Amino acid sequence: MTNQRTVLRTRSRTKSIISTLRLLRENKLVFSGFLIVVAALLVAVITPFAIPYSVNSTVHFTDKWLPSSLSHPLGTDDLGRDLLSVILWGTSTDFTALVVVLGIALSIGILVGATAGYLGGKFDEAIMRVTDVFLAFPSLILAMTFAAILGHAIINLTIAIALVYWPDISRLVRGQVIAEKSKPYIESLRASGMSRYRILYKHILPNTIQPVMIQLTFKAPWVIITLAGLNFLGFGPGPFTPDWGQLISNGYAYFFEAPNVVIFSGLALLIASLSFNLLGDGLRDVLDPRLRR
Amino acid sequence: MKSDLVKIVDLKKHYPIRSGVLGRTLGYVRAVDGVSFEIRRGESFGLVGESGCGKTTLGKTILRLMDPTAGRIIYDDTDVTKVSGRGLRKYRRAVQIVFQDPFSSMDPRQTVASILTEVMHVNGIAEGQRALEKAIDLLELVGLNESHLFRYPHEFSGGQRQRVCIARALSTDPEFVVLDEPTSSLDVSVQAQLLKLLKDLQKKLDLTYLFISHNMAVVRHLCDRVGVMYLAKLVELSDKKDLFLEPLHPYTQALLSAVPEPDPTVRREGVVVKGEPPSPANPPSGCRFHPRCAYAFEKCPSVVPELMEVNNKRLVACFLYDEGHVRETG
Amino acid sequence: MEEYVLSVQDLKTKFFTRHGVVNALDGVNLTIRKGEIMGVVGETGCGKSVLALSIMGLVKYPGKVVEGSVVFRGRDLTKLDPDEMRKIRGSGIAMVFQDPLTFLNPVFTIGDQLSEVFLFHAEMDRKVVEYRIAKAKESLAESTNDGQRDQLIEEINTLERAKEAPAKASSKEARKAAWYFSTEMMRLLEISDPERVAKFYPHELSGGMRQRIMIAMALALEPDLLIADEATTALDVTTQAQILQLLKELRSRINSAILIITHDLGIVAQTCERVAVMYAGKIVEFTQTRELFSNPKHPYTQGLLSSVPRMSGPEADLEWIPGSVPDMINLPSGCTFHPRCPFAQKLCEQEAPEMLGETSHLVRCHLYGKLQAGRQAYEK
Repeated sequence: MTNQRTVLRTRSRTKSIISTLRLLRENKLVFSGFLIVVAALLVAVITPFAIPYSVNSTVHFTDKWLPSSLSHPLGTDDLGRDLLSVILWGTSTDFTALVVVLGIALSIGILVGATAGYLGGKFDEAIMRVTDVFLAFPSLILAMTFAAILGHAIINLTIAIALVYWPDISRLVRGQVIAEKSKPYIESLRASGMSRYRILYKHILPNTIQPVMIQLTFKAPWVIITLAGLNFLGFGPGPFTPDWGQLISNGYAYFFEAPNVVIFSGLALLIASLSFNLLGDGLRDVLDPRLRR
Repeated sequence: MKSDLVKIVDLKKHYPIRSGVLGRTLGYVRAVDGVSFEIRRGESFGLVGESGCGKTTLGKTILRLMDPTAGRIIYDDTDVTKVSGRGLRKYRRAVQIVFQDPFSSMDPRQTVASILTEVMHVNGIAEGQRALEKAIDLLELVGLNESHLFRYPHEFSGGQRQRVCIARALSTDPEFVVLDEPTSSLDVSVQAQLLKLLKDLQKKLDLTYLFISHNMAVVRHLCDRVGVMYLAKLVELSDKKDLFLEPLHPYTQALLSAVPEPDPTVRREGVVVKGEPPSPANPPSGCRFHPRCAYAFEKCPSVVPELMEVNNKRLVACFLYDEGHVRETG
Repeated sequence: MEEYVLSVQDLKTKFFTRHGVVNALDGVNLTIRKGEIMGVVGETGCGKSVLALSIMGLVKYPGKVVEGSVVFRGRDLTKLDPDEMRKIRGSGIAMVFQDPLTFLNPVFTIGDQLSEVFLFHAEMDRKVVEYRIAKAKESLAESTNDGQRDQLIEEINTLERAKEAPAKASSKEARKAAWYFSTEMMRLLEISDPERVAKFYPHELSGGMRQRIMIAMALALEPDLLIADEATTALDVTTQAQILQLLKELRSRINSAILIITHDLGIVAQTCERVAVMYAGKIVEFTQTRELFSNPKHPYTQGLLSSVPRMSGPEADLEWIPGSVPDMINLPSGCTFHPRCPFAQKLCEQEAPEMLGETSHLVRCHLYGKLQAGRQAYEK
């Protein structure tokens, strides 16, 4: 009997993952977004092992701005490096930064937002005024300020972006928590004798995580673009930690002589942003538990 | 004579009306304004009234889901008005509630098994395998079965969901269950099944019910005694039989005659009451029903009628049954 | 000779969803007589609301009326273009829904919104003349001066003649007239102090009041048919009783037929003259209200009636219909009610019954057709 039930339960879990994927596949556009995001993440993980770092750090002044050829499929950049390899390394930089930003901003945002939303009252009021201060500044300028204070290392840029980003997430989480808190089932949980703590962590948060995740997928391109922007404006760590924004910034001045650099790194940025948006769209539909069977 | 299980003494629940940035209190909505009655062990007590009369607030206050503004709640000879911590948890185990809307009163991410076992876990009733077995027993008790155990709420029909909610309420082995309009969102044929289930469960498990409803016919079907609420106050309380045979309070009369009977040969004689209930934030003076009452006389707008006993143990809050008034009008 | 306001013939409405085709209406025949109150009753998902929307031409994507006709004033509404349909919706058929708040604009006053109905749909030039006549009559009633009275009577006569070919009215006059008729309409609906209420915004009114306003808007243009789709469901019983009473009284005064769509058998019993019972997109029984309640023929109707708790008479145990409403995508074969029917036979699974019996009491059940002999034997 026991085994049978555990089997039943795990089966229902795998079933729900499979059905999620099946639902994702129903829409071709969404599914392609999903595939591209997964592929980009894979590239980000594999590149540091597959392509030696020396590709980034070796300069060939004689091979500057070469057009596409067999040995350099996308041509070369302003330092004579193979553009394809550099863009792949850029993927690695951007996605690592993305994961770190989301990690930091999510931890702060959920902690602060959920507590504020659930407790309400004076604490909520205070937190919201703090986030207001953050949100009052244009995000790029605020990120530039932090970057200027923290220094040029890529990790500092990441922290700067996370610092700009957490108020956004905490507001989002707070709103979701407040909406969820007022639903009738919360009252029925209270009536069954559950503590406030348990209701928040076992019921409200899991129910708000999904909409938050969906919002995050929509916001992910913003992180990549902000990083690119900071790099473009010269807050980046220099040419030997390549990322898309920096490539665009370097190639920008030579757009008419050697369009490859801007076109291909811009394309990478565009495709990544688009895929995240498509994925977010799809997730919104798929994660709706009512669609599950 | 059965003993009292729940006793409510002069219970009040007022909500502040706040406004502006500083949240100044402008006034109070008197959702429940001085209600007293007792529920006897093993009976179903019906609480009827129209929307906004405070019946749901009263139910939730009795369960301590809201804190009363004034008054006392006595459960099984213990004052539970102010209990907290362990005492409150013990009380919550003994009293349970089934809500009106089965569609939104369950966590959409939980399976039935997880809903039921969590309640048992939290209340220290059963764990693991024992909890699962008990969950199956509960499902069978409410007319579902083991195959429903790992399904999500959205996979059930309205009637089935309400059965799950009943199973959840029963999972702490309560003595007292508040039923807050449990059938009002269901179709009649499903409602009939559920009412039968509730009756059977009461007999089998020795439950005491507080049945909150706006549907007089359902109350007649299920309850033993009935209290009628109008604008935060109890206006009449009596045995079901007497109430439906001969309603005393003019509001009860109007309420009963307004229910459309599913039989074209029955034409209920009675006045269609004029107007609509006023806001509980600003109730009329004296008897709250007097602006709509066809029998109102000079005393009604100025003096608040209290519940008084008339012809053998029926309680009504109306001056028409005041001895003085009866003498005067003859 | 019976005169029909509306005649629905073999109406089929389907919803093409991602899970499959929902046969929301599966061949509905219905006739509504001039000035009668007719009821359509059924449980959730039986298609009664879709019927109302199909008549009004308001079925939304992915739904579509695929077959049948809705004949009103000699024209098939299913074939009209959207512009013509809009005209019919204003002045021919009007509808009142369950939730009035979604149909009232929160930023305009009640009076503005009611006036809009007149300004948009009515012949305002003529209405302006009628307004002047009404005003002149008012002054006449108040006036005591003989000279002035003669003058007013003369004025009224001129205006009466002008009614046939009214002059073009200015928009200011039209607005004034529309406001006047709006308050008159509210008075008709027993709203006390309409001049004051007309200046309110929708959220300032109670549910019952809002529903009265909706009915006022619906009846403003004197439609031949008023459809009330669960119009009193959200209201309290005492308010519901007021509104139903009002509908009954109004029917005779403005002479329009009323189609009441509800799940409440009590409302049907107390207000309707004829009633159609719907189940799974089909009408299964159609007769006089008294006949239906005293002699229900279809097993579904019988089940429904015995499952309603009553206010009077002995307290009997309730019965119910086993099972639940079928999945509208995969309807059962034959008679759609057979899996829940206590009298179901083999034939019921295989063959869908037609509407049988006399026109005064139609029923869609084999027990009154091919299985009649068996039923009569059983009854003995």
